[in-house]
Amino acid sequence: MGTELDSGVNGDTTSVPEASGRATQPQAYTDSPGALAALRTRLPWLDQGIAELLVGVAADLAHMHPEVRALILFGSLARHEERPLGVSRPSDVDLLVLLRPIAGATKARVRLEDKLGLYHTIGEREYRHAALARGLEVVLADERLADWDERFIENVARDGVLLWTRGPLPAVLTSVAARGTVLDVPTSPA
Amino acid sequence: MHTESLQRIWNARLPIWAIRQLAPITGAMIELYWGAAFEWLAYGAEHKHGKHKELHEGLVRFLRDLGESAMADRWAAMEGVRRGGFYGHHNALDDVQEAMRVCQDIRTWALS
Repeated sequence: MGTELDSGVNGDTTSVPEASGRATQPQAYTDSPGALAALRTRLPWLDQGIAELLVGVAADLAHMHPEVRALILFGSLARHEERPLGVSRPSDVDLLVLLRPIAGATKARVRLEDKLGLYHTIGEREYRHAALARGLEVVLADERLADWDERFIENVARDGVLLWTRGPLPAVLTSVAARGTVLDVPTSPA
Repeated sequence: MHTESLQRIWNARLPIWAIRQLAPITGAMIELYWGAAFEWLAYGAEHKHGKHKELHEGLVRFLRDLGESAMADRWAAMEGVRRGGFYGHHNALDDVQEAMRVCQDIRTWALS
């Protein structure tokens, strides 16, 4: 490898700590047939693998990440306008993960260290499932959604399906809450 | 291999950081770090495991298959930075620096 590739620039030599180890797995809820049935009643077009993944992700986030406030399915799969399996690029599963604001933070952003922990939890859950035909696209956002695109928020408000929540949603997403929460995951203390 | 592509992308960041008014090009800078991270992952995977992936689809699972979960998390984070630009107005210098930090971690791993 050439020396140019070895060189840093503008102090880009910082590194991010590893995602911390997490507590026990919420296996009981994930294995519960009631959770899966609730999801497939609300979203009958979900295939079994995706439904199981969503229940697992909700259970993991509820148990292991008290900073997570809510999990919302949005996009084409929530609207049931998804490109079907079997085409060259079936629609992804779009998940919005709302997080409690960082104490004292003036900007509605999530710290990279916290993001890595969440991506780790979600990624490990996804990995435990057989390779899925649909990709999982996760959006992590401070629950205030202060600097997110208005059209994005409107789309989530119009089509979003509240998979699980730990409490009230922000005012811009009250329409999502009004349509009901799909999963009743037992939570760890917030 | 991806070395030529990596060389081209990685070296492009040097003159870009010298530009005085970065605001109009921060989105392009995130794309640059995203592309560089992908190439570093290919380099590192080839270097350490004798194989790499040509497409970014499925890259997270590929890295976990190799036992490289920390890099899988970082690639997921890099994709997240990019999505923040698509869905939000997350193309500020803070976002570029986040992409840079993630890319730097991947580079450190690739060269180790």
